[in-house]
Amino acid sequence: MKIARFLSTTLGVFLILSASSLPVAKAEVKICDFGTKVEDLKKIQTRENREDSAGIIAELKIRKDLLKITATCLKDNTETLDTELSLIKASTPEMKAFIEWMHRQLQENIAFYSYKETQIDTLGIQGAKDIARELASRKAQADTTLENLVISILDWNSNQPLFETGSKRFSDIKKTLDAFKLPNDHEVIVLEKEAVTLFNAASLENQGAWKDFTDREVESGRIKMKESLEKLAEAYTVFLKISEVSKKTLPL
Amino acid sequence: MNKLEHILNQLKNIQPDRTYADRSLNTIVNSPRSSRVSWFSFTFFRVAEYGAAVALVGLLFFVMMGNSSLVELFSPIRSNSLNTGGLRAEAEAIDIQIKLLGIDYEESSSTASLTTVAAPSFARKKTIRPIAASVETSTPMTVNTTTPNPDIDDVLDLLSE
Repeated sequence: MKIARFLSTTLGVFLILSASSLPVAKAEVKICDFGTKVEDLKKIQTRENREDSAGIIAELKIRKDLLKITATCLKDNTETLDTELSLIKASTPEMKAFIEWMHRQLQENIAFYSYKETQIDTLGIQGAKDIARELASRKAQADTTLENLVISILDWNSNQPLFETGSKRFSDIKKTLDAFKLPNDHEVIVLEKEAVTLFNAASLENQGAWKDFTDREVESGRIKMKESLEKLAEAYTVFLKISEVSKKTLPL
Repeated sequence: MNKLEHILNQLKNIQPDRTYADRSLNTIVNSPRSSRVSWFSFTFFRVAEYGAAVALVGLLFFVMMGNSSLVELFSPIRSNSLNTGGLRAEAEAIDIQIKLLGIDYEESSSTASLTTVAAPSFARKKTIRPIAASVETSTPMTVNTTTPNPDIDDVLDLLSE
């Protein structure tokens, strides 16, 4: 009886801890589909008599339909970005504050698209054109400032497990090599020093990329982010060399 | 019958010897309380039981997640750290990530030269699917399979005219 209770307790704790480490599901992205409406609009715009009321009504309906699809898509995609952003686990208060700032900006855009969506039903042809311009302007502004930044932050965040794995790998390799107390001129130790240099450089670039993003320097941040991964890959090339040489020269 | 009742009534008046009663009372009062000991041992063993369960779970995690044997756990030598297969897999994951970021960056650079927008718009293929990427959707009534779904920017340009 006591053994059964002990085993059930063990299993329970194990299951709870396992569940807490499960990955969070990613946000589902909705695909925007304009169907044949764009072609329909182009076709109706080429009609001979642009003043006939039936044609105007038909054109207005297509314009409104397309505007609704567009506004909904913009809103949905911004919401998706926001959801993906919310899945990032901030490791510092500064990071948390920065993510919250981006979240608020995205929420403002979502509110704008939602508001424009509600105006569409009451529009005439000119009003529909004006709203289209407003949406285009807001989208261009959001793309070039906020959304590129958020996408870059999401990319940067997706790199972090690679650095964590690399750090653990490097730490394990170092512990293993330290255990043999090899001389400084041993081939493996020389390679280890090379790996240290590369890994540190990769980590610095990684941190630099984050700093650039927080300074809204998206392009230079992306370049540093890419370089950080390239240096990490170089460090792994050296890890592989260490592995090959160690297997030949050390009693592993 | 009356005699039996008489004997039973006499039994009511039986008293213990005064000295013996006092000694027994003192023995009982001065003896240690066994209930406190059992409570302590009960708590101790319960804590030990849960502690051992948690420790065992921790050990299981170490063995499973580190893919290590028990001997390796207590040895400074991590022979798995030099496993070529694991190293290659991790290096490959980095290469894939570089390629993904590289594609995004190249695409963004090409759009930058074509537009007057201050900063390039990064492709969303990896993090966010393009807004008008697919013609295969769940709404077959409105889907035109011969023409690709237009870009949202193009649609907004058309609607602005």
